[in-house]
Amino acid sequence: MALPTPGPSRRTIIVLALLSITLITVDLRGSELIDGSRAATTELTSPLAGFFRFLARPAVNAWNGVRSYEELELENAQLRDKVEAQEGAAIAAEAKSQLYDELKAVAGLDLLGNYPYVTAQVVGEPASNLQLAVEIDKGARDGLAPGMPVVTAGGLVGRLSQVTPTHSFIRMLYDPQIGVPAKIIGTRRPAPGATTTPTATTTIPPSATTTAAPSSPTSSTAGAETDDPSAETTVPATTTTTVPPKSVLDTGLLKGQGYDRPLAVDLVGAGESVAVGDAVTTYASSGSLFPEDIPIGRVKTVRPRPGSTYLDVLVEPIADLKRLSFVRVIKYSPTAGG
Amino acid sequence: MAVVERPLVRAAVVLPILFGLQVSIAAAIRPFGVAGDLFLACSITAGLIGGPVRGARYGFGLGLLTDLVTRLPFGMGALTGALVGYFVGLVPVGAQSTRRAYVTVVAVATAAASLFASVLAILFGRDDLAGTGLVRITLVMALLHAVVALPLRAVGRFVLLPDLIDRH
Repeated sequence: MALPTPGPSRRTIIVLALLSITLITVDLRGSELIDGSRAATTELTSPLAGFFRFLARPAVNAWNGVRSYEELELENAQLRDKVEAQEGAAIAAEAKSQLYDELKAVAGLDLLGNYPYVTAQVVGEPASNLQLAVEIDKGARDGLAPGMPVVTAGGLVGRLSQVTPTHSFIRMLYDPQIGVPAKIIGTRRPAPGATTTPTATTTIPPSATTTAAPSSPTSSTAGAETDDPSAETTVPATTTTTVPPKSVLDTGLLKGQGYDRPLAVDLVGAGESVAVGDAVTTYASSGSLFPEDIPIGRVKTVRPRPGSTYLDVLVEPIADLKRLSFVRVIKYSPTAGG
Repeated sequence: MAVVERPLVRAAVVLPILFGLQVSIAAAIRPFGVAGDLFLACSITAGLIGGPVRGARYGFGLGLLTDLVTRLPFGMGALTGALVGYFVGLVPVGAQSTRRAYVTVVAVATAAASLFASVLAILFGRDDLAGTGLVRITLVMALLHAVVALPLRAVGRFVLLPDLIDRH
């Protein structure tokens, strides 16, 4: 029995559908022709896109203003508080940071600050709802290459996936197709049934000097007694502060779970004492895709995975991945840095 | 027929404007985090005004352009555009139908195309789309395309009607 002959309209759609499927297959296998065409299109259309974005800016600003005015006011207040807190913390951290850098330099390890970087501006929102890559206005002419890590002042944003001469695309941290080796830093807590608590003891050297009050000449101090009320007495005081040490609790593979969703760290053992608030940074081994110690975020939730020896660890990124304006592309390559 | 009356010439005039509006306004103004897709809306318009063959061809072409400017698997937009253009071309609602019927068909076709594209994306590794994200994208896109359906019908008439009149 002969099959019915498809009409011209059906033939058209069959041919076009097959052609589309062929293109998808070719692209998934990797095609320089397709990549080149995309890069050329980006180059050709970027002036036009820039012109239209310039024209549309008032409308877009008005929309953003209407949509998020109250949210922005609240956020501003919170940010002012945070800035004050950060300024204090920054001063305290400076000394520690200096010491840390010196130690790492002595150990011959790579520091993030050692790498040159390029500051780039995020050009616009992705043109499709299904696309997670974000476009920036710097490319190969600025020395950028696929794979380079992208950060903000806060922390890791992602890595470059495609680079054209003047533009690049960032594969964002929330993209399910990205994987970042990460380590969780926190306080090691005793396992159930353990008898010892590991703590670090900081001893502040005795340097306190006290002056005896005139009204209490007979008051006793830890040092020698004196009849002279104005005499200075050096007290051999020793202050001991117990500080829980921070250490690497475990390493794992950080993966995106999509826009609007926290990041997940895989392969964290159930025996590890990971807690909410623990810091998460990049972890570098030989030939790693990222330099060591780029801040990523803080642990948001920890749950034992049913029927598994691993934990479900969700991480809230430090960098605001949804509202990027300027980013830094670290000129790091695994061969150079790893 | 004068050169300016050829549909492809008219399409070439409209296309840069459409592209500019997509990357500037449609991509930036995102109710509930969802952007409209003017190229997809135009594929639907081409099908409704020009019938299944023109719908499939224009949908394929516009989809290819989408593929060139986005970083999704190349051909995904073309497949979605061709299929939606073809199938809406089979619906007996066209340039002369009532506004309500026209807008409704655009919204339903958008929802179907958006679902189809999202399922393709899930197959290509976007597991995160499965669930509420998919429903949100589908509904909001349908609504956005319903809003622009009538202005785009005017554009579609401008591009396609000389060709349709010539052939009848």
